[in-house]
Amino acid sequence: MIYTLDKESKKRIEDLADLQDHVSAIHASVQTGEDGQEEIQISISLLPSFSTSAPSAESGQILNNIAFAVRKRATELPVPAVISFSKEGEEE
Amino acid sequence: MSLASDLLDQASTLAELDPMKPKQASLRRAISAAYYSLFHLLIDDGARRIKTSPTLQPYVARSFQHASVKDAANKVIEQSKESPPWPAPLFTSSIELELIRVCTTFVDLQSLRHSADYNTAVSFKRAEVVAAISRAQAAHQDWASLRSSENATVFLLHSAKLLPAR
Repeated sequence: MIYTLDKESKKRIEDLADLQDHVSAIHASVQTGEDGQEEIQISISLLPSFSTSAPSAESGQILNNIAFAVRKRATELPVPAVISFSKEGEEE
Repeated sequence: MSLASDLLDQASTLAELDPMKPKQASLRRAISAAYYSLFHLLIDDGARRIKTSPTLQPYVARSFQHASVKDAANKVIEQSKESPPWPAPLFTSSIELELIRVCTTFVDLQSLRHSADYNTAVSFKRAEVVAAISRAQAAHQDWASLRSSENATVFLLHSAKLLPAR
């Protein structure tokens, strides 16, 4: 692994500002993807109140806007970002 | 119904199986179907941009590779950089938010699909699968609103590697 995420960038990406209506935590780290390329993997944890009972385009629009906002914080970094969502407190 | 729409429906059906204890196989296939719904949505439109006979169109669609579409999607995302990469001069001045959201969803779903198909060390939960399918549904809507735009055409032609940097 060559690229290291500096503290300042990590802090900026993981900032919850403006996202607290739906997001409880953000975690960013550098990983090697399945295709062998380095990427900043950003895991976004949704609040339990965010509905995930069934897929819906409206929820998707909210999630895509969150992903857009968070990814923007990493745009100037030399490694591309990949975002995934999970839900706080969800059982197996 | 198109293949892309059918795959999106299939993803939802798989995610809703066994509501009390979903099987990993169903959740993994749901993620894969959601990703492929977006992939086929884009490459079908891409193949239509290149005028050929109906017989040749499926072969043109096959010229779109997963890695090259991801690369083109990342290039769209990177257009907001101070020094945007090629094919920056070909995009119109402001890239539509809808196109950026489609591209970010594509990149994220492709990564998730790789994990779902190949990484048995990770276990998927229904919420993250529902989130992925919801994102794909929203991306389908976004694409419908901008598919005819010049920037969408640049993205698709770059995905097919038809816009080599000079």
